[in-house]
Amino acid sequence: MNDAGLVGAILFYFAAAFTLAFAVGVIIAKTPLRGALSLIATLCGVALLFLLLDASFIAALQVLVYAGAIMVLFVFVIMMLNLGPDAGARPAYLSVAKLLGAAAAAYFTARIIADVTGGAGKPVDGSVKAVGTLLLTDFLFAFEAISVLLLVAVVGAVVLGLKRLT
Amino acid sequence: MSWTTILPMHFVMVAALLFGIGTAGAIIRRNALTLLMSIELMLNAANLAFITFARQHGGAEAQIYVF
Repeated sequence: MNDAGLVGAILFYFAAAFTLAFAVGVIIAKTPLRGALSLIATLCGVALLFLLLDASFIAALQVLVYAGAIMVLFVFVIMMLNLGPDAGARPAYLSVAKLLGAAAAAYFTARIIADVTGGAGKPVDGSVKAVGTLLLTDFLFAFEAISVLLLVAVVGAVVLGLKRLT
Repeated sequence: MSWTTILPMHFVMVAALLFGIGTAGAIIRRNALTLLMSIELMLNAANLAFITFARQHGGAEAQIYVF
């Protein structure tokens, strides 16, 4: 293994451990705010993994859109609603649900991992130019369809908000 | 300009573990916001798997899907 490969391997294991540790932090956090902060760290770790996979444009978008915009929205909502630790009643069967949920998640994860095979990867051009060209030529229709979908979502949000105001 | 010699399989394993953690969170937590954040985790795991397969096949098309 050459030098760059070694650095890549160290970065991969660091990013993977970072991502998974903070992902666990999201679901065991006592308060939603801590969960949201852990989720920001998780998303940054996933962005680092994207970088290692030659997807630099997607990694930048991940940090800008997810860790930036969407998580700001989450934190904003949490602070506006002033959620305390574990708002809402917790029924007695929750420990059984916890066991069942953990077991189900472990089972599906094991199934996925057991089924995965494959050889070495090939280098991909994930620059803004390559992805943008592909997006606006071969995938133009899907791109425009997504735009319309987003427009519908915006209009729906405005309509729902107005209805609540009046 | 390849950064890493790690096999794509390992990235898929990370994605699967991330998805499993998200699933567990979605099942065991009752808080609506935590539920949403768990679903966000699962979504990111799917994105990571997409990008990994894009690399495995040497094409940038799957990166469009993530976008």
